[in-house]
Amino acid sequence: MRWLQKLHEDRAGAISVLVLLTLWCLVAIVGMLWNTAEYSMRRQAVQSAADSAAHSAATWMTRDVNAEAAQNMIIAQDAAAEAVWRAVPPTDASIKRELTSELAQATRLLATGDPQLVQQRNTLQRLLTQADSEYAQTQDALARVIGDSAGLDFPDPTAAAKYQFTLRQASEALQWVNDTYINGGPANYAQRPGPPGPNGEGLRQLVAKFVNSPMDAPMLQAIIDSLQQQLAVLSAFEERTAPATSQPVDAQMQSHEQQVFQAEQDVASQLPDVVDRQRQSLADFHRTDITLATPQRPLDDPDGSANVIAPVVTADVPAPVEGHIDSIRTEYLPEAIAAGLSPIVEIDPINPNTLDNRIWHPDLVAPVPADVSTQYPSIAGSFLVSCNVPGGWGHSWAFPIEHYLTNRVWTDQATLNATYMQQIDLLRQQLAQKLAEMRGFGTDNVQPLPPRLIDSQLDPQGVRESIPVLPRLTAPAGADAAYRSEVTIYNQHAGNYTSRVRALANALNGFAAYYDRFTRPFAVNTWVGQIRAARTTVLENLGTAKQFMVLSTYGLRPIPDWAQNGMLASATAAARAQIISQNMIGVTNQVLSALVRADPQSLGGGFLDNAGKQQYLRAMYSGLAAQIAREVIEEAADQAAPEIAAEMVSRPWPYEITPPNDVVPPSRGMGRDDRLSSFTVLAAARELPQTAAKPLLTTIFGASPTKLVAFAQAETFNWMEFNDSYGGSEQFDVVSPVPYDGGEFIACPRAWRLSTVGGWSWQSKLSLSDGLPDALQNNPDFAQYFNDAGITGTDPDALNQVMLH
Amino acid sequence: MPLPSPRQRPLRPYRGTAEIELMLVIPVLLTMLFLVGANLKLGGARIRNVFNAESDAYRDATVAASPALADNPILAPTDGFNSLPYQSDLPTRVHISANQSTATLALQGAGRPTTPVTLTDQSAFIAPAWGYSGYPVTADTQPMAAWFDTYASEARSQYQDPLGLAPSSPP
Repeated sequence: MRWLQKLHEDRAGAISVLVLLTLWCLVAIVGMLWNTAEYSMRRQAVQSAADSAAHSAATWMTRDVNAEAAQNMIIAQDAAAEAVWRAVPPTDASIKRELTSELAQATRLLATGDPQLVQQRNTLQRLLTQADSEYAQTQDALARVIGDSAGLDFPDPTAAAKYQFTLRQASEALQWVNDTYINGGPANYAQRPGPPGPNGEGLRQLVAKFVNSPMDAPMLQAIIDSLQQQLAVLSAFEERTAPATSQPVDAQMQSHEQQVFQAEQDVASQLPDVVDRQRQSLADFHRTDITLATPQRPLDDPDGSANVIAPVVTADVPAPVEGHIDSIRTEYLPEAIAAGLSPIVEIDPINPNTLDNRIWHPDLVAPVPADVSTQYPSIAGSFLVSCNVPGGWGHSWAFPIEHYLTNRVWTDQATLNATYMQQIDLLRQQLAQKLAEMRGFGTDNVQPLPPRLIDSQLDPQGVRESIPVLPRLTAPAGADAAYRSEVTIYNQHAGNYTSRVRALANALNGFAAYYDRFTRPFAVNTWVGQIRAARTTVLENLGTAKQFMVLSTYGLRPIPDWAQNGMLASATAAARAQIISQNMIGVTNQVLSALVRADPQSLGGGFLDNAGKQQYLRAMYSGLAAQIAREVIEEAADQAAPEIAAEMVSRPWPYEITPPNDVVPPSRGMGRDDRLSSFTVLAAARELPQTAAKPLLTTIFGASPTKLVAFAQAETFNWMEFNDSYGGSEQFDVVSPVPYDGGEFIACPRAWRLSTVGGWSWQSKLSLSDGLPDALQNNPDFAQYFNDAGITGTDPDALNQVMLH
Repeated sequence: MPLPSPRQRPLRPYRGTAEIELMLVIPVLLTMLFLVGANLKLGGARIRNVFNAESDAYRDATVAASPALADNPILAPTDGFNSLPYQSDLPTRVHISANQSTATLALQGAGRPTTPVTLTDQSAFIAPAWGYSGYPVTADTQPMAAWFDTYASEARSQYQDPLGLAPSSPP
């Protein structure tokens, strides 16, 4: 006890003990600080290796996809060149045939004279003489009718005044036709039209111009000169294209396409090896172990680092859909059988809805509505309405590259079009202008004789009437036979007169357009038509051969549920509009002819000559005819369009990516399943002994029994998914129009991801680690790395909870 | 002269040894404190350095308009697809950040020369992805276009003028 008490009282060395304890704490702090930094730094170094490996693997995958997209575009460029080459010979032959025929015709006319032209010139003179003669007789007859009207008996003064009003109208109309329309004088009432010539001439001045100043020879010479220039342009076209047309460019291009296709396949097959070499190289560089994993790795893949395969396949890999029952063919079975079409179709993912598998609808006989038939019995009881488009509704050849190829064909054809075709058409337009100047007539037509003229006076009710040209007169009820005869004679001569005048105006227009056959532009239309046909041919060949690449996510899929109603409505509207548009002109013309023939509203009663009446009636009934035609066609379209749309919606369509399960927009771009299945790679890095953490004071703090492991996820993505020119504009519930093909549309977005400039814009990035659970389950080597780090659980929910919180 | 207190303990010979001890251990304590401080500074620097190595290399590989860390002889680009025609015309860069930073440690006391410590870490990323525009490295646009043009011209060049074909690039 004493010893204890002594020790308690002894103060010597107390500070030393305290200092020793303090020193020990400081040493421990130094160790803890060192170890913390060491582990953190080593951990970050391993993470850096994992990030680097994942990103580099994704970059090689991206390089592969970009290389495939670029090579698909090279194939399309070859095909575009072939399309241009195919269009050259038929265009050349067609234009040459036309120009040589015209040249032969013009040369012959110049050498021998043009009896038809002489005859036409004589016709002009004859018609003018006849018109003058008829005018004199009409004027004489009208003078008698007016002069003898003084002695007529009328039931009341109002009837007398009304008759005199009518006679004045007839007199004014006759005077206007002769003085203004024929002789070129000013109108006898300010609101009536002036002379009909392009430069204010009357018909007499125009006839004199043509008859007295014949320009046949100089005009024909101008035509011959122009045709020779046009032929020279065509020769230059032939000369320029000869090095191509003399070669089998189609075979050469197809051969090159096959080489490119082979390179595409080789590149894709080399990707796993390239990625693995890159992995090893980065592992050495970072002095770590690195293994790669893909979330959907096949279970039969051997252990070790995963083979990162290219997210592309050849175009013959996506499977067709067989045994689809076509609802339209089932509904119209006899018509389908008659057309040689089976109700069971096979849908090809590359050439959807083509040939015998096209979406077809029989033409429909549309009855005229009952009320219309009753009101206008002259109109036929029904009309045949075409319910098909060329190639079939929604058809497409070589769908994955059609978008780019179509654009490329129009780019490649532009030079020949501008240099030769437009030049030929320009020469013809210049010739038209020159001929117009030579005949002093311009390019405008003679204004036709108006069917009616506005009256210069108000009627007793204060209404300003319009006067038929010329008006039919009816003798008053109390008139005697002699007077009635005078009225009849007037009506006959007045009808003859306006008939001759109209014939003369038409003859003048025909005479002015006599050489139009030499000036009508046609080269550009010929070229464009041939280019269209050639484009279809090469697309069909490419689609049939299937020698290009597509994304591995490409395939036939049904339209997503959420989009079906929208697509049905959109396709119905588009098909309906197309059916109406393509039938409108034909049916309208048929209805109009029937209406003009029957004149159900008796609009032509006041006309004295048939030509004027026809002209007037066509103008008056055209609106009604269009209205009836639309009504008839709409009935057929209302039946056919929903059936066509329903069939379109029931068919699977080719999609480059799985259509989203959510409404687009706001949903955009590739979904999670596609990303993980084809475009994602993970990497795990593990420390090596020489790069392991070297902690201090391990006897005190202990050493970690596990290895440092880190992982990273990277993916290939296309940033054009959000560009409105590419994926950003994709809609799955609205039809996509196909330009250049005249109203065609398809029920899915057009493909772009492996063939356009936007499709050649893939990038790689480190990404959200949502593929970890799948990767751990499907990659034993990858999972082993995690085991080495002491992580043994593979519960996806728990992992996602940790990774995606 | 005050009288000594009867309770005052007599003076002992070891009086003042605590002060002496304290004076003796101060240098030791200071050294240890400097070590702690140095560790704090060094540890942070080591962690930052390895992190910066990666972020610099990644930034250079993915978003730098003018890459500054490429073509380092430490790591050559991996051979790529030998079946891809004209692959040698395509840019292949390895962006390496051999990050070196200097941590200045005042181990010898304030006002005295300091000790610089050089830290070295490195990280590598590959680029570009061979996209058409090369964005954001616009300088890649030209070699990409040239590669495409050369490749596409294999078949088209002899018919470029006869058929009036547009240049292959821009595609």
